[in-house]
Amino acid sequence: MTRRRTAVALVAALVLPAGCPLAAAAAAASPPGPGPSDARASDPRLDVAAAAVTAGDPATVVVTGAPAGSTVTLTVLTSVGAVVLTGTTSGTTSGTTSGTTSGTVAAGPAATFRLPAAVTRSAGTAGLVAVASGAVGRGELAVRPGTVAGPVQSVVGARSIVADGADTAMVVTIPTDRWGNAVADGTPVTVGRRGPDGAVTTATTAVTHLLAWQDLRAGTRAGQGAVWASVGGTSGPEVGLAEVAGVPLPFTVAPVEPAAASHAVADGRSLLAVQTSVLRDARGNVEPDGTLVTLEWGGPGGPSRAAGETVAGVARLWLQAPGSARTIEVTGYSRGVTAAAPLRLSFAAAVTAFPVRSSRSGADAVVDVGPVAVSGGALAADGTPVSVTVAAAGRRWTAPGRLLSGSVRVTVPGAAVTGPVEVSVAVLGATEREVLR
Amino acid sequence: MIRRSTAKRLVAQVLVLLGVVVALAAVVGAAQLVLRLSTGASTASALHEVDTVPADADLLVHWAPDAWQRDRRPEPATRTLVAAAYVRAWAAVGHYQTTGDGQALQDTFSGAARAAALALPRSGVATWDVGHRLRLEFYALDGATVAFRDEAADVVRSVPGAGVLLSRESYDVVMVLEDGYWRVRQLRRDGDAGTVTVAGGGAPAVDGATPVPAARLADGTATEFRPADWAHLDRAGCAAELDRARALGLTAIRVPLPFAGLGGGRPPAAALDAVRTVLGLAADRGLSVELVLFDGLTDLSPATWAAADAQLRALVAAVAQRPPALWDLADRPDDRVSATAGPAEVRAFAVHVAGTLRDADPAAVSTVTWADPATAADPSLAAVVGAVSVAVPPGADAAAVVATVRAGIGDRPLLLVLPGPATDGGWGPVPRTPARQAHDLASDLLAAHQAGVGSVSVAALADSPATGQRGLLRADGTAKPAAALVAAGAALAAVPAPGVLDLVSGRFWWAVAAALVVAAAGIWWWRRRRAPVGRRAGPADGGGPAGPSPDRTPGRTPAGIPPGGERGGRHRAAPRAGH
Repeated sequence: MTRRRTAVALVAALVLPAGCPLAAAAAAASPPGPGPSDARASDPRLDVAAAAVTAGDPATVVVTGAPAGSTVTLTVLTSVGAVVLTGTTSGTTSGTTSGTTSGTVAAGPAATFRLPAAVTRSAGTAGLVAVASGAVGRGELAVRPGTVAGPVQSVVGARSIVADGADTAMVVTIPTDRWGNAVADGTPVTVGRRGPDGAVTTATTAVTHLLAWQDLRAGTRAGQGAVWASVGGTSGPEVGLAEVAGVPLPFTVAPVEPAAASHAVADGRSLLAVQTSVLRDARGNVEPDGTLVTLEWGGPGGPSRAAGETVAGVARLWLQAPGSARTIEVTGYSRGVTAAAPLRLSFAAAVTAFPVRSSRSGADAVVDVGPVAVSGGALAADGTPVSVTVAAAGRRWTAPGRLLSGSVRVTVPGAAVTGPVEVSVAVLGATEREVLR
Repeated sequence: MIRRSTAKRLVAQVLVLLGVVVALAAVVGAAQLVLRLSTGASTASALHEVDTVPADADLLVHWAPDAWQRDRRPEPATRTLVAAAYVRAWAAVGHYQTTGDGQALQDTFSGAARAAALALPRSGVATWDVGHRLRLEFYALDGATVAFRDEAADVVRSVPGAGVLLSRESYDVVMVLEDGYWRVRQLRRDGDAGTVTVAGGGAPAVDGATPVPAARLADGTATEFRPADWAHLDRAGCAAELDRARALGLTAIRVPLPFAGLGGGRPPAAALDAVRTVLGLAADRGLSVELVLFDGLTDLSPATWAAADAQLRALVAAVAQRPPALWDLADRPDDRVSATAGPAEVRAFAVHVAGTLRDADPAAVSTVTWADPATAADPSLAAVVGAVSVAVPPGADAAAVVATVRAGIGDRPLLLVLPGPATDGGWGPVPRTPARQAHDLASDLLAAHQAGVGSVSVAALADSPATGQRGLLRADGTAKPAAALVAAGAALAAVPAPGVLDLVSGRFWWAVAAALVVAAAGIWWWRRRRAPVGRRAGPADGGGPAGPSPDRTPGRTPAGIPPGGERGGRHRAAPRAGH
């Protein structure tokens, strides 16, 4: 009879729409049996006991409070995910779990779960939720990180700081156990540091929020240092920390060869070497190689600029001689610092006098220039620009030319007008005049 | 005595009828089976696949004031990147646990944490994170390492065999910048503030939840009030409708808030203003308000909870100056069981949003309107809200529903929601007419009053596209008979049952009558076609007595009489031969 009623209920449940009174009646006809509600009513609470373990060690969880033979579903909420285990209560258990001290187990049928290393390798407080026949129990499993396993890796940032006694870098380290868990908060960490002068200092900090960190304040001496961390007897590799000079003090700029500079001529092409003094910061540290130095000076064509980098604190640069005699002021800059005083350089005229001959050729004026000799008697370089200006009857004609072997013939079309004509020739800042009649 | 041929025909008809019945039963059975498999009674049947980038990821993280007060603080963009990477890391854990695809874990975890997550045995646990509150504990000078504490990680896990677990957990986290991406280097669970378990069936379904004191509710009758457009609220129209509600004797309105219509997890200011306006208009008329949340949100899987939380918080903040009398956290959520949200997830949703409301406004009075009286009667579910609400569908026994629920909830206040029948006629044998609506409503109200239920919500205020024809008022504003029943002291017992004329006015009976007429005409036509020529022609044509042919085998006639002979023969051949 009971079987028939069950079959009827099953067929009705399948055929009749949900919510139909007949379906409910059919369900009611189903004989009562052991179900979730019954178990809840009789035994609503489970006890879940687990003792603390070290990460990676197997753990034992004992669930009691469910009737013998009950299926227990244990959900373990670890730091990196959840695991579901299923077991059955059997036997009678009391005492403590697996030789531990904190996992007290109630008497009665128990389901015992052994958690493998894959579940316990992540340190933290794992939540335990056991469900059996509708009854629920909760617990916690403390998974402690193990002892530190080397090497203790350090990260330093910034890797380069200014040796001004104020700049700061930071070393961060996460000492871990063999499973990669950060060791327990409060674990002391020793930070070692070798300064540019070779002196070794140590500082002690502690693991907080899964990591340890230490400020690294700069000294006053520039150079390469190193930092490392250790926990107990376990250390790690060195990490470099460079301390570099700060901004330089005002520096000077001077010709490399002062004697040559005193005879500099404005030939438009010769180069004059100048250099800075040794760039040092306020604490005497030489600026690192590659520090940029810029020279600026003015001229009729606008400001000019040259840039160079220091080697051993000194930057050497070359200035091109101007095309006409003048005195220039050279100002140096580096890292926002201006040179103590501008460098004054005087360039004398490269040419003092040269022959000019002019003649008429039809309507054109023909001007022969040269030979032009520069200081020392040598002919002016090929390609030296020559400017010829012809003025007559209130009009002006201009024609360019370039020296070849010290001379050049310049023809000024239409400039041979009637009457006297004034011819003016300029070469390297020197000017010669002649009147063509 | 029945002729042999007639008997054969009857047997054939009976067999055909049986075949139709068996086929119909098979179809219904298969449909029931598919329905059960697709909706499922257990969480294991729900299709859980956690996305690698959670929906509404930007709603998940809130930063608490920093504990790290050193000179370098995370730049706003860095903070955003860290939060985004952390949320993706959580999603990666859920994705890996449900699919076995570890690529997202590779991208979002680093070092030992990555190895541990990949080494963890997969148990099919679907994990969703629906909220985090982060407090910065460390930020390296070089901007490449950050440590923070997740003080309130709201985590939802759907566990095969154990239902849904809701927990607020705390974690210590270290993230590092690797190859331009923030990755989790250390993730350490540091306990929880309690884990709530929610089962998909049976009672008590909830274990571990914080109970809420029973609320005190004023008695009264409410009706459903749905403004047409929350984005462009017709203030004058709403005021007129609420005037009408007051005139009918109603004391409250029940206002469903469309989840999507209010902007999901990011409700715009205009929508929040509209809610405030409705509350103000109702208060001006002495009507209390029950706000019904998440109307139209069919997917109650944890993937949508973050948006639901965000909308709820926004609403609570928006109406803080004039809060509603009651927050109905969901109207019949148990009818929204789907492929992605089984019964356990649906119940867990109710528990979760109840907690969210409690966090946002500890003084708020909440309820959930369940469709299933057994679910409403679950004391563990009732304990998470201040009042219990149950919907009584049309035709159900309201007194029985009240008795069922009352048996489980003790002295906790009970609200009845009577959506009521529509007055659209319908195609059933019992037509849905205004008279039927009035009768059913009177019966339910009477049962509620006799059972001592003082808070009742009935029907809708007016017919509209949103409410259908469940209104007390027609779309043109005229009152239906049921409108007279909602005032205090209405004569509920005097409402007569619909009469025969009301019954026969239904479409069903008109359709039956039409079918009978068609069937009669068809039978007449059929018999006329089957009749022998002589009989159809009648005695005047000289035909002899006629009847159906006893043997329909072609070419054969009884006693060797040839076709077309004296006794007829094949009814189609004979007339042609005769002609």
